[in-house]
Amino acid sequence: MTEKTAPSPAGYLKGTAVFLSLAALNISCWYLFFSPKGIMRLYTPMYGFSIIVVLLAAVVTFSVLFDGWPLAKGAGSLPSAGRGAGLTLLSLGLAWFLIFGLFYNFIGRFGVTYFSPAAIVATGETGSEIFNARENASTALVYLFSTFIWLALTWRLGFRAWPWHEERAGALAFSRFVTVSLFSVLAYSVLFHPHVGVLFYPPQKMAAVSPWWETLADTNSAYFHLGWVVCSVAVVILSEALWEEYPWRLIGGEKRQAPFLRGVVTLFGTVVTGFVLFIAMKKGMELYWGRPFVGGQYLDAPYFRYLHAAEMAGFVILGALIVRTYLGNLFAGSVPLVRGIVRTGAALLLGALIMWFYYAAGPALLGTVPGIAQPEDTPLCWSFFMISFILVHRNFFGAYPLRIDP
Amino acid sequence: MDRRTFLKMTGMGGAALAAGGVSLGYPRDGLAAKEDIGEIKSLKVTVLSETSWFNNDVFKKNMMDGGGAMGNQYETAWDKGNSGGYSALLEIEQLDGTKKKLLMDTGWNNDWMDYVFKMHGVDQMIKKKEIDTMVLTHWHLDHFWGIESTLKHNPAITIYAPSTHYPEDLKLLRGGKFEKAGCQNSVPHKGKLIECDASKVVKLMPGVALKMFDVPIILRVRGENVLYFNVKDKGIVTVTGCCHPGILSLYSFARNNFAKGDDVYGSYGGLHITLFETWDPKFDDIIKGLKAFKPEKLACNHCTGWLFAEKAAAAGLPIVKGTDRFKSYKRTSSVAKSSHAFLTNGDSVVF
Ligand SMILES: [Fe+2]
Ligand SMILES: [Fe+2]
Repeated sequence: MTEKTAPSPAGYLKGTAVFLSLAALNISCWYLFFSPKGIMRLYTPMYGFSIIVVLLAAVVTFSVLFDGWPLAKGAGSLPSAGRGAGLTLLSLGLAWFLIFGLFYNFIGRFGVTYFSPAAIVATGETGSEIFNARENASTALVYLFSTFIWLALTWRLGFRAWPWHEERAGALAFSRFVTVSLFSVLAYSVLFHPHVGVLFYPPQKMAAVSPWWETLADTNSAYFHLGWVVCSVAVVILSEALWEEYPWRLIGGEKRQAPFLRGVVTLFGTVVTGFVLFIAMKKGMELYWGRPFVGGQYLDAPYFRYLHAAEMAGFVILGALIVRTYLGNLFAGSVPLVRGIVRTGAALLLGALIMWFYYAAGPALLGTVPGIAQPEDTPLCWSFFMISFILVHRNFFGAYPLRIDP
Repeated sequence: MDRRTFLKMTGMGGAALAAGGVSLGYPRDGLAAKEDIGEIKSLKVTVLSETSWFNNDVFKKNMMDGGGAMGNQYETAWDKGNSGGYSALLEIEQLDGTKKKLLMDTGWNNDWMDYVFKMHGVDQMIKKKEIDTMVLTHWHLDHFWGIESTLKHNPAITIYAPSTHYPEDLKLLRGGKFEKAGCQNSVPHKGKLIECDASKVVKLMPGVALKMFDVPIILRVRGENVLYFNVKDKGIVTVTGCCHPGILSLYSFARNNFAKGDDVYGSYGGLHITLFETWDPKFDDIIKGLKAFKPEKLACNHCTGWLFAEKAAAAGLPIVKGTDRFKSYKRTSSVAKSSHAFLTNGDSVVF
């Protein structure tokens, strides 16, 4: 990654203006597709949430795993607007194919029932009614594709192109995609599949173990895992966007020796750091709201505390991406440690500001219900939607009209 | 898997996890002196109606078409032929033997509520002022929109209600009509409206307290009133409409705020768990949490959902079973199973 020179005050202003325009576009799209007070009202919440998570996964696939392939930059490539539009359409198409083709109508119908609303309804079992069915299938998709996003970003930061760095772009893209998918299925089956197994009555005990983390987490809900996974994603994004890939780039030195070691250390390092962040947030919430208890609901629910850790991490990710993309990473002087700390401070501040915005302006702007811990609302849905907008803008459209290094 | 095994197995993040296992011991709500709410001799609850709607699929479709769980109940087109209501008659015997009646909630569909009130003589009780107070648990359609059925017998009835109302709620209370949602009230309320907020506990009489929990609720509603009874020699009994705040939060509040509040005897009311016949891992948490309080009588219905009642009973919780009384009503819910999973229309329970 190249370090750029710091933007001028006018540069900050321009970046802010561009970001606000993007946010306005995002909120309009939210109103059109997701807002409970909008047109299509897909935020039910899980159905809309699953669409957004799969969309984000598709954007991550084309930008992070594929490096823009098959429309990568370079000689003879499309002009940036055409390239951006092309990659955006490819992502939308991939998301649509994954949800409605692969999962709803292939895997769900011929393999794993719970991935398809229609297949769940067709069982005729208790509660197999279309709205429940769609929410349950969506929950499974949210979990699976969150796992995919987490591993894709971590793989990219840790292993980069290894072991396919000498292959052509298409081979690299395909290999990385298949590998990340394989590990995602493994991680999903252990971390989240047991949760989906008890979304039905009777519980699907032959297909899924009872949530093994129950006594560890004081809940049967896999929000426990979602919490630390999103926290780990936040650590990955912070390392990539604000810390110039420190400390992971120290492994193997500037010549990038030992890529395998770097990958493994990055994976474990970001998971441990993410977990520590997760526990710290849990502690913070206990100081603020008191201790949750088994079976409590709303603020008293252990699962809500875990989900909320993920939600806060989501806002931090947004903050980091804004500092990186729209504020030119603030400055380029001093040593990496100082730069990292100052940028992280700014990202946390921005994250807190956006979180405040979500809860304060959400009911009016996003059609959410006032209050925190509302069971049908998770800010993760909107923040993931905004994150995909920023990634599309930065990775597909080169952050036009801003000039940033990719 | 317990924490220790997990730590051994992973050997990573150990310090953080260990810290996670150490109790910091913040006794929330528990610092002030605990309040003595007094005692009653007994409480009888009669289920006037717990069938808020008769067909779950129709209700759910209406809700999804209206904007889903976060939609506005007044802007949703509800199927008029599907609405019933939730309402209960509470008969309290004081320590000195005097008896007092309270109406909890007033249902949804006026035709249904008129029928239900007449069947149990509640219309006459309101008219003769044997019942002079109604506790509105929350502003949900199935608990409040049948308000005319109460007011037509006594417009001056005293109403306790959560302070977290919207303009539409007050319009309906004071006489108004919502075409799309299909609700109306032609008898304006003339009595006292006592607004309950979350800051304090209201004592209705010795042994009877009302506490508002300010939580967001589906269909754009906020805040629910919960009745706490302290029954002599038995313990704390909670009575709820839907129990949106969560039954364990109610028990926890009693434990932290009332003298002898850790002695939970039982509950009556909707518990808002499996109303749509779905399960979720967090419902298993509720069963586990409930067992820790060792309640002796759990009389639930309505949005508790029969699924939860059956699973909780199977897990050893003292769920009070229903009888065949519901069959004496002119209409029954398509959800009501003959398994008598819980108390339903016409049943009663004594604490
Ligand atoms: Fe309710
Ligand atoms: Fe209700």
